[in-house]
Amino acid sequence: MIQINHKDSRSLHIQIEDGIKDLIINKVLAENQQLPSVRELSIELTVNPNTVQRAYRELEQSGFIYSIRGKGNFVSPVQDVADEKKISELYDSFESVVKSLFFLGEDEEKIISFIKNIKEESK
Amino acid sequence: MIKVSDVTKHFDKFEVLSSLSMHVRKGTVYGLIGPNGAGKTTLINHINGVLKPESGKINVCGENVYENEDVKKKVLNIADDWFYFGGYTIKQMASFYKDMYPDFSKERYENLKQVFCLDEKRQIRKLSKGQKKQVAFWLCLSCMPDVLILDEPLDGLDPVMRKQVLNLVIADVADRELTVLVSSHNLRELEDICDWVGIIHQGKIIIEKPLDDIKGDICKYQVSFKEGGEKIIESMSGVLHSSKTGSVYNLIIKGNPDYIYDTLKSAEPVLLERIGLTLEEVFIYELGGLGYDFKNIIF
Amino acid sequence: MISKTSFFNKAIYKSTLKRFLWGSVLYFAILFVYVILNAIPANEYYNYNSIYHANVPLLLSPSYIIFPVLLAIIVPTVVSLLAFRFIHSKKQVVFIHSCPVSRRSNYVSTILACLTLMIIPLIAISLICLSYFNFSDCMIWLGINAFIIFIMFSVSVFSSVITGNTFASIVINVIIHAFIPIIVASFELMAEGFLWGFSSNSELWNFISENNFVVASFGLANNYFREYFVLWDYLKFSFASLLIYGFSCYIYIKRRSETATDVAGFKVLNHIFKYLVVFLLSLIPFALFFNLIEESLPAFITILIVFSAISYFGIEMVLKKTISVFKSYKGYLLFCICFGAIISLFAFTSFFGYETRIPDEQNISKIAIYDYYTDSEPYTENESIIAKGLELHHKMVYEIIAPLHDDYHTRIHIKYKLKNGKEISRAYRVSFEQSQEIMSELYENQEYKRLSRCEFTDNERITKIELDGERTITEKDEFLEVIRDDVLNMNYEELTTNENEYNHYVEITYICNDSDGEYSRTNYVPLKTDHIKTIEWLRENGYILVSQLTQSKLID
Repeated sequence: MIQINHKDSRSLHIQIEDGIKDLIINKVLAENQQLPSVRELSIELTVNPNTVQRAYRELEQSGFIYSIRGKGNFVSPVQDVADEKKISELYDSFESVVKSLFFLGEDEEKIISFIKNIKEESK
Repeated sequence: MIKVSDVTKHFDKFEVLSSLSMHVRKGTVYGLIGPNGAGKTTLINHINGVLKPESGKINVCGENVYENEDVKKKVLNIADDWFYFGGYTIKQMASFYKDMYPDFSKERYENLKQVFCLDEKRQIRKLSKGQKKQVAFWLCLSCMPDVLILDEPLDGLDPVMRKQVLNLVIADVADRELTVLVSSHNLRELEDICDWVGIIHQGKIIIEKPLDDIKGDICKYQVSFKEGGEKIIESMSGVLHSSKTGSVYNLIIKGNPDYIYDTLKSAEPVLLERIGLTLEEVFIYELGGLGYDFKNIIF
Repeated sequence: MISKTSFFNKAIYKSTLKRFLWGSVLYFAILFVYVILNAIPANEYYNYNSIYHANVPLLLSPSYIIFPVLLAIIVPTVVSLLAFRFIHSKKQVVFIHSCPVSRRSNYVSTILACLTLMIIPLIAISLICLSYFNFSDCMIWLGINAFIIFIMFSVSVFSSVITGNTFASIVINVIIHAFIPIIVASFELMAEGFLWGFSSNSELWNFISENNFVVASFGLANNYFREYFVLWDYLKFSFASLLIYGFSCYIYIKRRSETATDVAGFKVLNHIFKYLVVFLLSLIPFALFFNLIEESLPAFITILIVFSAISYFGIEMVLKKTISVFKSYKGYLLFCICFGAIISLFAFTSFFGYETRIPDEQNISKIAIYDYYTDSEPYTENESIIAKGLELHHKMVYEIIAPLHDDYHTRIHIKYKLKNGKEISRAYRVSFEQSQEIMSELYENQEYKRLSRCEFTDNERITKIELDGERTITEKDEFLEVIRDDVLNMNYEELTTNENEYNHYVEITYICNDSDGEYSRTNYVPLKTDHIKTIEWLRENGYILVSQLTQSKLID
């Protein structure tokens, strides 16, 4: 479910966090669904349990998940935070595309009119 | 959990450990890495209670480990060349461990038997190298240790068994707060399971930090500058390595990644990408900075 | 850091037993074949009785006990090598010492396991022997072997803990047992060659053999010598062994694990071992080529140098595990200087007047002067003998030209007990002719004859006189009178030459009383044709038949 990549500049616990966030955003994990235990996930990924523990702590702090003592960790019924992340990612991708267009010689006005056209068509 | 304080040791006038200090916290997996001859095995043998330091202290679980039966009952050690009594079967060796380590769990032993799928009546010397390693893990984990010391543990194991063995260790760390000290040259595998890393060089621990911090400290930057932009490199400190392929610079820079990224960005490069280093690369560049010479690294 | 550790570890004990059980079984098997299988047919002849083997329990007769005793000496060495590999092998060192067992309990458990392995076979064999031999014999057999194992094992263990590898362990083990005898023998060898008149100190040798483990072991195997062992002897050896076991434990605890595979367990011992072995090896030329010293001194010195150099550098190679050791030539020079100094002390100083020391007549309380053929030391206060003795002593020191070391020779012993309580002891290497000359002069004194010959022992002390090994002479007093008469009339040559042999002999058994205590001796006295009255008496009393007279020299 979650992949980790060592060439990634992000540390492992951040990769795990992001991976879980993606699953939550893309509704692969449903609201109030139980997440795998620290033990299970660390074995599945063959990573240090402390790493998984840290990721879960961060996710709990940022509200993506909640924990019940003695039972485990569960997905929070939160939408807007997920959506915000998605938006931020899309903007990052967009930035890349825009930069490439500039590099190839396209200018501001062209790009803005392009956006406007899309808005027109989707109406 | 393991606290080594200012330990010095000479072999025949050669100083192998030079006022070395090290701290392995409970429930963590500490990767000990270092060049050949740096003193890893000697250090490990001190922590095992085999060698006595000339000066300094070695405490495990709060007590001095040398000749301390109570502490050693909770410390298990798997050397690269695991020792077994010649002619003994797996079962007989298990019986030895059972007598020697009071926390030996028959239940665990039986559970692990299913994992390793080896016939306990076979003579150990007739097994392959990898199988012998498996037996080592099988028996040592059955002793329910609090501290596990591994010296090149995965050498000789096939990929399936590697994962199997690592997972067993991880499970114990998760379940029982097992403390693990691993010494290995296979940094690729270490970086999955270590949360702390200690680099040993010429008898001293030169760096001891959580893995994230170490990797966070050094990054690789691929940068393509506009005319004249490359001057910025000279003004930057912490550049451990710099090479150029075509018009693209490959820079290894130690320091706050965000700050460095912004600094480079200020030169308005055409291309700027930040790539994390693997532990292996960190090792090579950190030690390269200390004079441990290497040549022709292509990455 | 003082932790309450135990003395015994079950895991070590059990595993040592298990790993070396094969050795125990082998030991049992060998003993079984040797003792039991030999015993079964022999048991049929259990009542075999001869003059020499009367009342000797079969199980304890030499053929049954020498080999087991030999084994009992060797087996502990082998066992200690096997069992203490955990000190000598780098892999085992790390494994065993990372286990939760203190060195002390490791040591104790290993020792106990080894002793169990060695003694159980003995117990088993002695139990089986009960079906063939009687209870006390079996128990004595068991006791002897177990005792030897116990004391020999202590030295083997000590050798193992003080060295770092198997080979050194064996060498040290042998040296420990043999060292003092070899050193004393070597000094005596050199002294004998260099000091004219040197006499071997038998008291020292008695002390050595009484306190040497190997000698004691063989002593126990011999029914005759075993009689001389008292409780104190057993206690003394046991106590010494226990001390050695204890000291070895201490050494093992103090030892550093990283010395596995080195020769010595401790750095300083490397030098000691080296010089010790080189010294011992350098004594060999003296044993083999002593004559060369007189014949060609340069040749001897060359051989000595070559020998010692090969020994020294050879040992350095073993110690340092490399061939390029010639840098340490300084150590060799040091050795040469010291060794040379010791030799010179003997050779050139005549050892502070040792050679020329002849006491003054007024200081002498007693003298004993005798040759090879005289049994016990004939001490006397007789003034004429003392005077004669001094004269002959003077002759031997200043006038006699000694035969070469290898030529046939015999010895003349002179011993003094001085008035101030001191004793002087000398022995002179003389040729047979020279010896004869000297003894003849002594024999001119009748008193001397009475002193030194057993025929003149007090009648009450003579317990038996036997003719030709067959007939006991019952008229003891009469016989003694006639033979004494004859002897007083015979001179030294007549008494000792073979030319006048009579083909009959008597054996006189009498009670001796000297420094060893009181004991019985039997002397062989050949009869000569010059024993005129004795022969006649024997014939008259029917001991010799006339027809047996076959001598060429006929007597009226």
